[in-house]
Amino acid sequence: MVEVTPVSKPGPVFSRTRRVKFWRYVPLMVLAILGFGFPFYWIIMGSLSSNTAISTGSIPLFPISPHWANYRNAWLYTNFARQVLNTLVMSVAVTVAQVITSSMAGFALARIRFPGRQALFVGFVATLIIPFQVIALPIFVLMANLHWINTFGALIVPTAVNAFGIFLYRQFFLTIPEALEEASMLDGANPWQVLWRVYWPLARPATVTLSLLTFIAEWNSFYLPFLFTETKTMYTVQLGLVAFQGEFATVYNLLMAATVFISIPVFILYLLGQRAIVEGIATTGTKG
Amino acid sequence: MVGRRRLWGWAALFLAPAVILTAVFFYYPMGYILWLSVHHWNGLSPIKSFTGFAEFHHLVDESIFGLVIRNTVLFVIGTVIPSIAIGLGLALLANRPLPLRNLLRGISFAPYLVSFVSAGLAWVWMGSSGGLFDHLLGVFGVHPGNLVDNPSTALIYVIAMYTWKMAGYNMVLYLAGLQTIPHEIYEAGAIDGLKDGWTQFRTITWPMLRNSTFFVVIINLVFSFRAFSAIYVMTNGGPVNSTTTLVYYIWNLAFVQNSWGQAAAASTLLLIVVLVLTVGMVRYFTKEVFRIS
Repeated sequence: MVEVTPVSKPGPVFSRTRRVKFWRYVPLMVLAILGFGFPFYWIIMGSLSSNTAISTGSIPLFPISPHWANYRNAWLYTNFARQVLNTLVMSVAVTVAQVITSSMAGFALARIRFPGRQALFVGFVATLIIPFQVIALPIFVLMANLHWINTFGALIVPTAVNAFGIFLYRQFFLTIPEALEEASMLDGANPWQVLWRVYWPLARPATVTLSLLTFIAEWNSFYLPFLFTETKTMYTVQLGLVAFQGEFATVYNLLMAATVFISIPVFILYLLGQRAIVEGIATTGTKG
Repeated sequence: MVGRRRLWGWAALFLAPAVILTAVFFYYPMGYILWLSVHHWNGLSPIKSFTGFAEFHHLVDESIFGLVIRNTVLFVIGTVIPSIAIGLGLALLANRPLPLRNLLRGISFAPYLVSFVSAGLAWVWMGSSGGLFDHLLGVFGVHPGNLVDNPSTALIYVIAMYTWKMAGYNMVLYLAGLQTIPHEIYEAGAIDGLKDGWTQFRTITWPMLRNSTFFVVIINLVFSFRAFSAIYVMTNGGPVNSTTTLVYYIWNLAFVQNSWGQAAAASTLLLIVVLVLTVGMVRYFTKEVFRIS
């Protein structure tokens, strides 16, 4: 989590003002935690409920007799294993591609002075504003003409570059002292070697942040795979989830179980890279 | 920064992948959509005939068009303002040195991490009749039944889900903004008699958060105009088109009605609206910044 300098300095533990503040704000916090967190608890309760409890809407507030079999059934009823594999291939490939294209472009924009540098940077960043839906139709036509629909090419190549990544690496490379580059150049290294051997290892925080955010975005992405896939064998997990809803519309216990296991990888990544994720989001706000 | 000419070739090499991909998958499609919007095409035939602004006329003449615009405006305003306001409130709470603040940050950010598909499906279940919200509102004597199947509640319900999902993201952005406010300003303000929380917020915190607000407003506008999957999984644009927004309508025109010319015209409209709003925001905020400094 972001380290935050407290706005009001903590006073003596039992001071009057501190107690007033405690009673003024802590109930609000509890309310917010319940409001934002309860749906998660309820989804898990739903995923462990029996068919009867789900259909009559009488979900117990505590898991009295959890139906763990729901998870096994939800997994087996569809082709989730295949969809998880598809999604992993797509997410890893896009993440690697974005790290490579972004670090190269970010390096050139930060460390080499050439005409049109600023315009090019603006040209990249402008892509962040336009909704994907605006350009989705022409990309669909392009994919259809290339016969890439329903292949990994369509899932990976259109998102292989990300202006946010370019921005992130550029900001990072700008903070590295020039002397380092000059020293390595004097050692006879060419810019390619300088980038990958000197700069890229130093930019590890940017790489971690971009990788985590991209992987999560790809894992959760819906519109692009929705347009560019046709058969269930190419479905990603999010499409699988929608197909599941189509087939088992009101079997909510199984649907909630599927929702839970599909979200687990994202939460694991968040727990591992909490700091990088939150800082990555915060960076776009403070340095944008 | 190395500026020797012999490095220009290296710059071209480093930039080539990003430039080519951006050109092919962003600028070319942008040009294509503008070109397509003045042509008639059913998405299949090789014939694309030039029709001028006819597709825009057709688009506007559709009986549903007014409703789509109304839904889009309501959805964007209805999601942007509450999710920013709640996000700011959460940030102010989570910035206080009180117990539970880390739990508050983690829990309120968690909805942002799950996909719109998962969150949408979960909310469909929670909003079904006999579901969580039906029970909760029943405590107050209100029995709304199925919130997603009702044309008068569907849009509000999708907005509620979207706000639940985005507020924590805005909290993170505002927390970063709050960190940049030096503590000395509050001390100086206290000497001038600015002691109670609301006055401090109004005279110090809110003006100092100007840059954060600028960024938060733009990013939320951009996100809200894009919202497709939540609407697709929760309501399919219904009931009776009550949740059909512009992005949903674009998809529907192209892939359900095979009316690609109109879909391109609608995409162009979306492009113009987003551009005008973003440029407008940038101009408004930069002017304000200049006036202050």
